[in-house]
Amino acid sequence: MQYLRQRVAALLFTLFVACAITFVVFNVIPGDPALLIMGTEADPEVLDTLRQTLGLDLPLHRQFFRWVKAVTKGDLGTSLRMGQPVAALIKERLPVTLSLAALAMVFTLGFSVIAGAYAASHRGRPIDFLIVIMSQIGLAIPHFWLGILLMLLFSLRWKLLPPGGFVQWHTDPRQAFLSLLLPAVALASHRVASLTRITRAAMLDILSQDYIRASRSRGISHTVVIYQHALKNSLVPIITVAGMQFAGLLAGSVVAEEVFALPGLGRLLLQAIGYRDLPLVQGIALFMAVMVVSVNFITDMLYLLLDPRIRYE
Amino acid sequence: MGLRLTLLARLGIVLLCIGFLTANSSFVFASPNYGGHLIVAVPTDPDTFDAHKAVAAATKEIDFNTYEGLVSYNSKGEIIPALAVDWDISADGTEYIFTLREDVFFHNNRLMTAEDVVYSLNRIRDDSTGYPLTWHKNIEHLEILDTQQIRLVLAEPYAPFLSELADAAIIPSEAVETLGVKPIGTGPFKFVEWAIGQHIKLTKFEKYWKAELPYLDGVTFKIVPNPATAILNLKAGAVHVIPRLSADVAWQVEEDPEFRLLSAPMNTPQLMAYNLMREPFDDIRVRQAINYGIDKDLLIEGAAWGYGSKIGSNMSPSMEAFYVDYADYYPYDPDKARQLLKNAGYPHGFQSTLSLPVDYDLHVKAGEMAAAMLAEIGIELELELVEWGTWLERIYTKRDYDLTIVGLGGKLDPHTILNRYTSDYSRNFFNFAHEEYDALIEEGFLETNPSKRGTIYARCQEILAEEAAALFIMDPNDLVAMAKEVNGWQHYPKYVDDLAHVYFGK
Repeated sequence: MQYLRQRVAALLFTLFVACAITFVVFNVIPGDPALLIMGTEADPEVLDTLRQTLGLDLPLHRQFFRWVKAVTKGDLGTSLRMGQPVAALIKERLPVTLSLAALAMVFTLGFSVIAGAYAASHRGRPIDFLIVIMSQIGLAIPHFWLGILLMLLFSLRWKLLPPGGFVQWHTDPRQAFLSLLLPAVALASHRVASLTRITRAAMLDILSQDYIRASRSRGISHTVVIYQHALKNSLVPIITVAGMQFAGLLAGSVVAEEVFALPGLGRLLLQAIGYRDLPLVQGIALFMAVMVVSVNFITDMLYLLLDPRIRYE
Repeated sequence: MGLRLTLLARLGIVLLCIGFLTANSSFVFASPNYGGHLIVAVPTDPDTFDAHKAVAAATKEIDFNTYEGLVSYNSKGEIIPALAVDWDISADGTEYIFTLREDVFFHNNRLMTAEDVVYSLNRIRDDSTGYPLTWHKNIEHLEILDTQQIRLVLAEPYAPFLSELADAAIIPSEAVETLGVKPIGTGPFKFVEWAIGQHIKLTKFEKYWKAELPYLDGVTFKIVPNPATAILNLKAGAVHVIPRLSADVAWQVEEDPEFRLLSAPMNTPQLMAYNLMREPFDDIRVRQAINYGIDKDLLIEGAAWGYGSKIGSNMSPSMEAFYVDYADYYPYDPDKARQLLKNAGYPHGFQSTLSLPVDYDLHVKAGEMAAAMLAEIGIELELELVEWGTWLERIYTKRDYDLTIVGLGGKLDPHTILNRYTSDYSRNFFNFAHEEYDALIEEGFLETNPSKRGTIYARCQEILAEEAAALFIMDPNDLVAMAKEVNGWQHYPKYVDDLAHVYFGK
């Protein structure tokens, strides 16, 4: 309980610091939201009116604390450029980002744990070599390029999947799934590559332990040794990396979203930064920070399940 | 011998006639088909659908189909009647009397009245929206004469007034609260839905006052940020049209008989600005040297794949009524450039910084080529990439730069285009100051006679060329890629998509 309380306090502090840093950095870099809205047509008088309307004429610290105060009341503010509530804008993008992250993660875990374990148990054989080479290539290929390549093959040549774009889950679940398939594969490629290597390394580490040799000598079958004893015990480093990867995916993948024309959080953030839309940037940054912190928390809790020796005091 | 010639001549005439007829028939005699749903790829979301607050080009290209003003413009940029059938301008140019159409419906099926017009124009000049258009202060008085006539008085004559009025959408007052997300206008298409980040859907407005328009049943603007993805979508049949296609990907549809690529000047002159307050650009010989040192034809070929028209002053050839050709005022001549530099006291050239807006690939590419060309005459340019927000603040507003490349445009009136070079103008980031020029702009502003205005603005363009006020490079072409069954697309000298005239045909 004590631990939990400390955890929550640290969490809130982390969020506050993250928001403060975002705010400061954002105000240090040049670029005036009112100017960006008006573009090259900006007339000084019109700009002043616009700044007042947007609340940009207040001193910085007051702008920040006004924002913090509103957030504690559950109000994330209004986008400067789009004039719509920040919370609504994030909520609209969330299904895309969440389902894309989940799908990419399923691909990543499903593939890399099996491939990594298989490679480790066949260490030094051609199949191990092949898997290591493949993961090396996977790490080297930029995923936007892979994305365009996948679209060329699956959308243009074979006409199996849509060439980008997104259909909401509630309009057509099948189409929604199909439109996420290629970007999820493109996003997973990079992560599969690194997670496979980590799984393989963790497995090799465990397989060299005495208890594995002991189980083998007791006549337990190879499959049981590998997938029940060794794999379960190598899950802690795998979960650590997978958790970090998932948190990264939740923050939205700007590049994949751009290539596949997906209306996700990453693209929203990129746009918001481009237009110096501070409330929107702050809102998304806060949201992402919450996501990352929660994923880390869940990862920590998973350790407890996986390794009874771990205790949080 | 004579006989054979006559025969050949006859044959020639027959062939010519056939050619003429067939060429014409596809144009004049083909009656457009009704029906069909067109999908247009656009790169970003609109900002707001409230026509009086929107400033993003991405919004205006859609708004052109849903909103209308008292007047509009055709594809040549000429002012044409829209919600007003007719108007009278008093001899001194300050009083306008507009006669309104009687058969105009809003998308909520209510008839438009003179009250709506006055309400809309008042809303635009009212600071309380927070987004006043720049011309609102010119209107001094606004009144309803009778049910179909309104009178408008300007504080002083203002020649570009009508062209700015084209952007002043007439809206119904009862819809104003939700206008930003649910636009209601009088245009040929009415709004259906906006799924942010995905698409904007419009459907045919059955009560549109031009009864024969539009041809299409509906239009979807699909948001596709990446140009390569947009091309894949076009090829897969998921979109029908890509307006403002990047010249970089144009090759993918250039040779393909399944698609068409339309190309016309965009009315956004690209130029390299010199900061005239800084050495050595305050010396006209240096500016002329740079002008002579740039091979514009090669630059257009290299940076825009040849899709651009060479210019020599700040006016696009698409402004037919006012454009004067100064494209070859400073022909490419590196020897002359070196000589001018030598005369100016820079026999070994000099060093400077060229700031490029990184968000605009065309300007970055043009900058890289220009730097390579200027290196040949001894000018060493350091390239600095700046993000658009920084560009607007530091370079455009604070005028802190040596050299920069940008495209300026989207205007229909020569005054609004050329005004930015007057010495007291707030956005004159060139720091250009020229007495005769200032006087001419002042004169043109008050002049309503078109031919006199033509003379005035011709001289303005000449001064900009003579003074080498900037390195005027090109007007990049507006490229539109479309499936071959799409017909009726028209280029405008503004950033709009006119979908009312588009139809599907063989």
